[in-house]
Amino acid sequence: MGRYLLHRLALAIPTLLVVSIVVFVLQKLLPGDAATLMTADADLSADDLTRIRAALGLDKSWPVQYLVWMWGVVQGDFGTSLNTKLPVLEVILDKLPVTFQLASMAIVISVGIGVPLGVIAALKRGSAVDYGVNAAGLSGLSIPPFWFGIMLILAFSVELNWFPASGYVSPAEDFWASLHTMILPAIVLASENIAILMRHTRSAMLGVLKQDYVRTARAKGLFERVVVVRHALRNALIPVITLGAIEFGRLLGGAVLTEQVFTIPGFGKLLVDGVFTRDYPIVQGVVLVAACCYIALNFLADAAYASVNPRIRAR
Amino acid sequence: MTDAAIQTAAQALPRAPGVFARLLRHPGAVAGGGIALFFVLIAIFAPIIAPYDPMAVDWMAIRGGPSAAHWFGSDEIGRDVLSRVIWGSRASLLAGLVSIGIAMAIGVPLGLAAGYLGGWVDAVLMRVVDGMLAIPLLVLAIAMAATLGPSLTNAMIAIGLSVCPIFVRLARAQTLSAMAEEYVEAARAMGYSHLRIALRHVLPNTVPALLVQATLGIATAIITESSLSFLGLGQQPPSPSWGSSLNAAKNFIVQAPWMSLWPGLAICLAVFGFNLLGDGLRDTLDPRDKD
Amino acid sequence: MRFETLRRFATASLIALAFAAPAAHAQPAQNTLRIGLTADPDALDPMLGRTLVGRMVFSSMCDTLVDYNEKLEFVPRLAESWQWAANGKTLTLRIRANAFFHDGSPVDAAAVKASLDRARSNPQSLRRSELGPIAETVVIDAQTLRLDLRSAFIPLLAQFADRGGMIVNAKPAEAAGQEFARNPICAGPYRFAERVAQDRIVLQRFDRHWEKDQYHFDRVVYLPIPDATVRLANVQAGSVDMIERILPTDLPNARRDRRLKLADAVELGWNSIIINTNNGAKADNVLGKDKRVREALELSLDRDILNRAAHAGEFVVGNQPFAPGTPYYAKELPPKPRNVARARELLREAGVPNASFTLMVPNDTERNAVAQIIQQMAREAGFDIKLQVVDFATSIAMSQKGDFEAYLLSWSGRVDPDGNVHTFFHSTGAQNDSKFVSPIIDNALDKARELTDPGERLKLYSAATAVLLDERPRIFTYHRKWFFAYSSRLSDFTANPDGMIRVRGLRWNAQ
Repeated sequence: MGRYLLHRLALAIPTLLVVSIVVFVLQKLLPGDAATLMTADADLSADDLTRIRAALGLDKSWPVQYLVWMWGVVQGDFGTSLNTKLPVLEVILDKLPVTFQLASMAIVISVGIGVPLGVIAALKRGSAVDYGVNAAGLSGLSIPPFWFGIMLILAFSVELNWFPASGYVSPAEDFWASLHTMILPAIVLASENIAILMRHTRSAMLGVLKQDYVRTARAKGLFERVVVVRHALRNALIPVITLGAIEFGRLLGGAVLTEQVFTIPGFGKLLVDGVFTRDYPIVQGVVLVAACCYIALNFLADAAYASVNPRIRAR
Repeated sequence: MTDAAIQTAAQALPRAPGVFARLLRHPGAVAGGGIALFFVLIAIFAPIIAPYDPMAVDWMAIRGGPSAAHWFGSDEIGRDVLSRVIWGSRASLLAGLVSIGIAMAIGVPLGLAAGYLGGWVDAVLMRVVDGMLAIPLLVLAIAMAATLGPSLTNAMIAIGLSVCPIFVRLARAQTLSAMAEEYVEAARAMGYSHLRIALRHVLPNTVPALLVQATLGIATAIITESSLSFLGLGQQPPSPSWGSSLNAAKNFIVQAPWMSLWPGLAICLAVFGFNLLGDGLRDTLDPRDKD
Repeated sequence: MRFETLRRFATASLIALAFAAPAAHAQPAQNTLRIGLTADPDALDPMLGRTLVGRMVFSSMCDTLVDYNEKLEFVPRLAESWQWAANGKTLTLRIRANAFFHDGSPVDAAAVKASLDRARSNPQSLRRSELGPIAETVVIDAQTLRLDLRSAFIPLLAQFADRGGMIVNAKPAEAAGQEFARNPICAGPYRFAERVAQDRIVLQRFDRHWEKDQYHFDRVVYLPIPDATVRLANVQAGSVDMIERILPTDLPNARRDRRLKLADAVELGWNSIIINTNNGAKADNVLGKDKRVREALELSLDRDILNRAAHAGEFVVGNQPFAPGTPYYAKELPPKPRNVARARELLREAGVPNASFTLMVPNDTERNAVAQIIQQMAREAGFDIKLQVVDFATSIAMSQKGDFEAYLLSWSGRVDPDGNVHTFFHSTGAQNDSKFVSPIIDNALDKARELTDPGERLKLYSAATAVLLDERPRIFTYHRKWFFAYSSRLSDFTANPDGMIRVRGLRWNAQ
């Protein structure tokens, strides 16, 4: 067990290296750099530009720039934003709660809807209800999130005025206002995961319902609801929780357009702006942290799974 | 696309007789196939169906609401929204098909190689794949599309490369399971060349799972293309695509809701069609849920 | 989790949500002014600042040496008076005695010198070229600073009204390096309090400011809200008190709203199609080589339709680097009306009835629409324009390299006319991406830098404009208007052509 986990942990290091190299190279391939952008609104001579590039370290070769950045990261220094001169780590720590809150709300919503729907579909399998639930889930998966967001704003903010159109209130400032502003974006993000969680709950439930102990429970004449809740669901939830953790990790870096549409100042906005302003320390930092979260949650999910399922440990 | 979804697809078993007949009895697959076919036909016959030239501007009909002349209204420079939605199906379907084609063309051979050869090839490939999967799909696609320069072709390449790791993993998993099969071992014992075994015995085994994944992948690719176009990184003006229409519409959500409504609905329906079809394929090819 | 627990949790959450609704719109303290900006500002160090939104924050935080009013007349700030030498080569500034930096140290001639010297010499400074004409800064006495220039350079005063004239406390600035942008020490009416990236910048009233009775808010908060429609919705809902840059198409909605007051001003800048006439291989095409083709392009455009279709007719059409009605607009050179027949004729004369070129367009919704309208109008004259949409940074990189045939770009404008032409049209100009060369223009623009008399300068600028309109290295299209919306509970706000929000004098109406 311990060896398996250690092995997984060791594998995370090359993975993170690949992440940072891919993202770094992609950014360096983009035409222009942070200094180019400065010429758009300030009168700069070619000499000025050369000096600025040298001061920002942009005159060095790519591998050197990468190694300088990497060496900083190893020492816990994520560098400074080229655009705002704010320390990258501080910016990321500012944004992390926002993105974390949004992702948590989305996961709560998708589990709250996806799991019961999956249970119902499993219990009524093959019926119209099963197909209907499946189609509803798939339609959630089929809506482009940015468009769904726009439509929700149009309906619930502009027409009905139930929710604010955008913005972010910190839960520390006003907890309920914070939930209130985040509910629409969380629904948008959840729409995709509901289908995934639903499907997996359904097949996990089907698997469990066939098991002997459930049959025994039924034979003992226990009420159907008790069987479902106490015996079947509890066991079926294990793979679903695993999946939820993985989806959560993915949401931490993947809410780019939803954040854009609802103008939520989280990771997504930071990333897109970073790409377009050539702020490579920001992009590198955010992607690295998001990838770490993703890998960590995958790892936790696998570890949890492995602890229940001894067959995996053997691999 | 998630690891779990990959695993599910990976568990699909080789082709059984009567697959097509079973597919036709699956209501979801039939409905999904019908929707997909509907959009394919619209894309093919766009020049005949569309009431207007999708590029023709009418300075008098700027952001005009739905009317007898323009059923779906007109856009920010007075073009017919219906015609642009019809023509836009070409860009979106093409993006879906071509980018998945690219992803498979690169991903499947790599996955096959990783699974078949194992060893350091496998180790290196899997680390790269893990790394790419750890980067959010859209972020990867945005960075690639911006690097290559915005155009439909480049968006397709960017999407193809971004979803490629999924196919590498899937093909690898399928290859590993096929290699454990007796007939592959038998082929080895017969002394066939590695290439022959890989192509003749292992590859066919991976087809059903890949087919399911590809259909679902087309759905993902259509959404990703529309997301890139929404950010201005996909189809370029004045050519229509659903995503770029939504991009143009984003300043007029309130004044001209029809500009965002119809292209958005078109994306939903098309993606829903491919999702249903993929789902049906999975049910049909994957007997786990069958009694 | 048990179903029962789940159900209880769900009910509790729903009840809580219902109560939460009013809290989101809670009234803020009256003495805070919340301003919605189009983007998150860049570095908050005047030496490093490059964006318009950054300037917006500086205008409350960092006092300039001089400023200008809505009529673009210079007014004193940290410099209470100034004196040009007759030859325009020396500027003497009298620094006010009652000004302090936010850390309490006095702003005197030595401090101004130190700040200017920092901006002139720091390798990262974006102000080096703007302050380049200064050869030496000489402290005469505690309140007097003499600037010796390399050559006469009248536009320097305008630089002193912008970031070049924002005085920071140089000693802590030098010590802090680029960290200074995290905690800038200026001498404005508000001092830096807090910044959360992409969320808010909070400024706190500075009690030792020399003009503190003109500033009526305890705090000014800047909130980036990138989406224009959302920004408007926020000021309508009262979640911010003032916003900049309303979309022209959103104006009817804003005008109907009684909770709002509006203000506007025509910008100092311009919008144009840059044509590569002389920068590398891409200049070698019909448009770059033959000025008849460029004339045909201009004649194929109807600026009014462009304005109406893309901007609801709210902007101001123009054909010069200066907006109509401004002091340096050449009245004798008005825009020519659209003439498709003549455009076709010119194309035939040039031997390219279907002249084809690529127009590079920075990636945003409005400019996309403008480009498509231009494409359609020019098509009627026979042009075949291909659009190449790229992200903004890419477009600048390509433009500098000469990797473009035509390029749609705007300039936000400077108060001195020199800032709107010299860098773009002088043969040595850093932003002359067409590498267009005209001795007449070079001569006129250089000469205008030495003169103070507006009448004389107008003649020179008109001479340069005449060449520009004939050679057309750029085709000017229109001038934007800055539209502001603010709470009707605020006192009247007068928009300045530079698009800045000056908080001075603004206050809540007595209720």
